[in-house]
Amino acid sequence: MKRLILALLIIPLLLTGCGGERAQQTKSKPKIAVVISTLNNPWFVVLGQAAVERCEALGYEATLFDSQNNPSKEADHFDNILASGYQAILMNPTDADGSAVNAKAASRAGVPVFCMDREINLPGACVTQILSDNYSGCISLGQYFVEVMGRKAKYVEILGLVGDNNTWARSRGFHSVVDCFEGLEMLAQQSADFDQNKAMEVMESMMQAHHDIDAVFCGNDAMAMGAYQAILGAGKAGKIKVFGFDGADDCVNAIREGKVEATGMQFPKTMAETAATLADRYIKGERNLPKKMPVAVELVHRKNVAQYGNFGKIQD
Amino acid sequence: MKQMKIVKWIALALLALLALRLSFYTENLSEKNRREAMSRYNPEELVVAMMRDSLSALEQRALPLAQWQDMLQKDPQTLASTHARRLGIGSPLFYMIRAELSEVCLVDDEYLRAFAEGVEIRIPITYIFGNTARDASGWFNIDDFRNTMDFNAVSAAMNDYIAEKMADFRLPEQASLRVLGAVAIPEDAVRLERLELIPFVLEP
Repeated sequence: MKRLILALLIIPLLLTGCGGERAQQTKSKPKIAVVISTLNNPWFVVLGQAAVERCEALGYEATLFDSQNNPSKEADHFDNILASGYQAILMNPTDADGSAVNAKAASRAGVPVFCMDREINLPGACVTQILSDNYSGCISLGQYFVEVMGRKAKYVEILGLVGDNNTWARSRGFHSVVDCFEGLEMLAQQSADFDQNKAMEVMESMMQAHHDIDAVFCGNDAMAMGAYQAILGAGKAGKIKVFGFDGADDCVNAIREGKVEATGMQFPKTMAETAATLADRYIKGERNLPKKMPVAVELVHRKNVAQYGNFGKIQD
Repeated sequence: MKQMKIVKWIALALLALLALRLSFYTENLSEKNRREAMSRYNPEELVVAMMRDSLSALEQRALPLAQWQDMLQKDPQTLASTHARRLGIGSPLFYMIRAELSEVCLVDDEYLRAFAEGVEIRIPITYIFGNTARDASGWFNIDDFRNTMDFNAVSAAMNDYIAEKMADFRLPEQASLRVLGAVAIPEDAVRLERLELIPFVLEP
């Protein structure tokens, strides 16, 4: 009798428990993963955060993953994501070739991948790549560099991650203009991995090796700020002109204050929001999406800096 | 009975024609050349193929400057939707235009300055912005390339190709020229007093 009473008490409890779980499952939102190369740079924080916010606004549960600029860390994230029922991945890759393997694994598992800002060298592994038009942006920057520096100057270049296509797109765009002028001489070119502290060290060593540097072109704004700190420390502020790329807030403010000459505004929010919107359309069944979607870059300099801030155009 | 035979023969003839049609595969020659050049991927070769195969089509597609200006002022949206090409989000609008240039002169060994339809036209010599030519031509599709580096290498190759042609160019005495070229303008532009034009054809 006691057993019967106990069973009568337990069975409804079990049923309620299962039913509750099922109800919870039904109610839980579909999930999108946002995998960012590094959250150690404010520009990428904005990219990731904007993607998360847009996904949430579209009715998804979004989770942000930090790959810490490490392809194997990114691979770990992908393993977890593929085992956890995510419906799409918005990825800012760490490496054009290394990240392609992760994107391919996701694609094989039926999870669509959308690349933001950085591309992978395997277009079929992701649905769409939303990328800044770095090459054109750096052509504009190169033209402005010639305008500011004139036809005769000595400069150095600080590159980003050598495995990232953006590094070379920026460098080649810049050089496609500047190399047309024989009087503009590049004294040194070195990578600082898009990192502010590394750029400071690189700039310090470049200034020790070359005492006649007139300008530095940096592959992103974090490195431009690092280079500026080194120049300031060496008492050469104003003598060595700094050019960056990204449109990060601290760099835009530095342009306003006359510390930096120019940067290229990349619009991370536009890229993130577009990626989230395309992922939503894909999840809802749309398949006719563009493979690549460049986003135009705008030149920001002292004359037009009032129009820019908060990682975009102020009226935006 | 005779009618039945005629119908039968017509049906057989139609079937034979259909079989014949299906046994042939036809393709536009310039599209075939484009596809072949793309599969080999050599930026310089691609640019040469583009210049060889698409100039007459570009000439036909290009708007006369006067018509382009008129549409730009009166109905920029229709002009953009019917004649412009663009590349992604926030991109400028790229057009192919043709014009008769007058008062052509060389300025500081940097650009040719000329006038057409009341507009100052500048044709750069020192530096040629390759993306305008590439994107206005419509011949290159970014999705056909492995990555943006390959796509941008075409711009650089096109830049070199046009620069080389311009280096050989000698300003004629009469200083009036016919030009077919590419322009890039901001999306919100409605009136332009000066236009930078990247030349595909520049001849007396």
